[in-house]
Amino acid sequence: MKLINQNTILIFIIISFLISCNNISQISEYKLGDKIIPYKIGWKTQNEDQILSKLNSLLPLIVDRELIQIVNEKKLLQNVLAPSEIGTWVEVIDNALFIKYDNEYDEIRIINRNREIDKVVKKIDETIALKLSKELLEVFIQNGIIHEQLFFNPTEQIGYKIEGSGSIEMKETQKKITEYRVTYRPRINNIEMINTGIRFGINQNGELCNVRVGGASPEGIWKNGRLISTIQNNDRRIKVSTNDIMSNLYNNKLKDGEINISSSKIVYVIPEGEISAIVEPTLLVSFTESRIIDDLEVISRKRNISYALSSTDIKPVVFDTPETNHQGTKLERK
Amino acid sequence: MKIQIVIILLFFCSTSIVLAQATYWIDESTDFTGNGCENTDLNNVTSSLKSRLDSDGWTGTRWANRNAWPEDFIEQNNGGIDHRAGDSQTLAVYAGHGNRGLIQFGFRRGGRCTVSFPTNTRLGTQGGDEAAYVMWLTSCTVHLDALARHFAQQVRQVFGYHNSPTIKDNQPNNFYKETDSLSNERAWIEEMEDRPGWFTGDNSPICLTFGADSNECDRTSSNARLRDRRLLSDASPSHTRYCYTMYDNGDSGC
Repeated sequence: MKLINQNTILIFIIISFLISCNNISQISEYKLGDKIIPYKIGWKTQNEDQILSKLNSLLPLIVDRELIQIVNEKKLLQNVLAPSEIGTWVEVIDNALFIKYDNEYDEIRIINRNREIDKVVKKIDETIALKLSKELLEVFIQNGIIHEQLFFNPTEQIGYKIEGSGSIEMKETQKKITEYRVTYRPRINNIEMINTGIRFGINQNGELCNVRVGGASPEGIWKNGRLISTIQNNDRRIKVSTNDIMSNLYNNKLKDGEINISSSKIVYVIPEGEISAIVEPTLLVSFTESRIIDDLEVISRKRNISYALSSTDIKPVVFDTPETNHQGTKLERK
Repeated sequence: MKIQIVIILLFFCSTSIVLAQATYWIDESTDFTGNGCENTDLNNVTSSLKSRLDSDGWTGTRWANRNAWPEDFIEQNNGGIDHRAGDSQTLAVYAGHGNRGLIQFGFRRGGRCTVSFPTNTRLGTQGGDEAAYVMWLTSCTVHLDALARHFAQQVRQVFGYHNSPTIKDNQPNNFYKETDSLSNERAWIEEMEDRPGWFTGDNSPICLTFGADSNECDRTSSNARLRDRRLLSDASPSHTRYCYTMYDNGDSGC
């Protein structure tokens, strides 16, 4: 009887959660037996010409003409290709233009510091920021910076840069949004890829002030707007219910703490430690656990686990796995 | 000749003073199983940071798990040993679990797993009085609702999260590395918004800066660079202002 009650409560919690959490809504579109397609997805190595070409396409969209002239005259973009240390930012123009090419993840980041600290001439709201971002997305596609078909129907997400200040006595405080951060992630067969994307930082004047773009690429042949996988024997079906996965997670974790799901969605994600892999859609769950310790509530750092949908035999991929042998478990300190 | 010798001596003295400021104290808990402070085990996020600091000529200590003690971050005058630990070096780091104005260690010691701000902690003041920068690699510790709980610290900057973050092994190291070009503030929010290679905006990183007045607050925000050793010196004795910058992707988990 007690067991039935527990399960009933559990099902109720899960159903409530499914209804309340937007991220879950994507899960309900898939059911047992649905086909899921694997792709080879990986981070590619670009040669210098390819990187330079992309940088040259990007710069006019984020940097004013005068600065571009300086960059071109002094051939400053070459510095981005040869940073003092791999993966570090290059201060292309002092205090104004910062660029980083991350060859590990094939990503370009650009910061136009002038636009980040510009005085606000006009103040845009979130709706306008989203509209501007969509327009920018189109421009990025037209300029060949991102793949048109890959970004045909992307996931959209908005965040904010917030700046605040005040006196220690808290007599006066200020807090304002100084930038809208709009991220687009591509979808293949309506399933988003999280290792690829573009993020626009739009300042209150409606200008692009920073950008992050790039990531992993899926292999395949585009035909009628669909990406045909190059993987042989790719007829895979959903055999594991997402509800079962969530129930098991709750059951396991509820034993010694309370679980709080941050997001849960079906995605293409490259497993930890791989630079290229055959990837099929999995259920990626991000969650925290809370416990009472020393009579105080403590929240764990966020954990990410991806669960296979095509078989119960495939072990979940745990991101940020703790070491098997922790350091410093013997007392060495006096 | 004498003047030349004096100049050379002065140069070496001043250099050694600058180098002496590049010091760190790192505590990290990854093992939270069976040690009296039950929680989920964590990945190691500060080993590579320590290696990088060492190779850049910083000096300091990193302790993990049974050797990382709550009292390291408790004010000497409140019964702790921060004067020999967290508040004895320029950069103080703790990696583990947390909550608003709170950090949790993996091994129970002296009857406690947690350290609360402001009750227990006074970095950059009283005993020790050396910490100028603090990094909390923990959940929710610098949540916007809990900013005031950091006001008892007399440090230049606090780096933390407004939510429960996901942190990959090398990210604190990457952050430090990026401060040779970017300001601490800009590098922190840029590096910590996502796991590397993901575009999910999982984290809400925040950099909290203090100053004797709003000018100093702004100056530190714009100019402090750990790796470049800009503004590495101890903070002003009495700050009256705070300012912060964050990427807000929600306060999930908190």
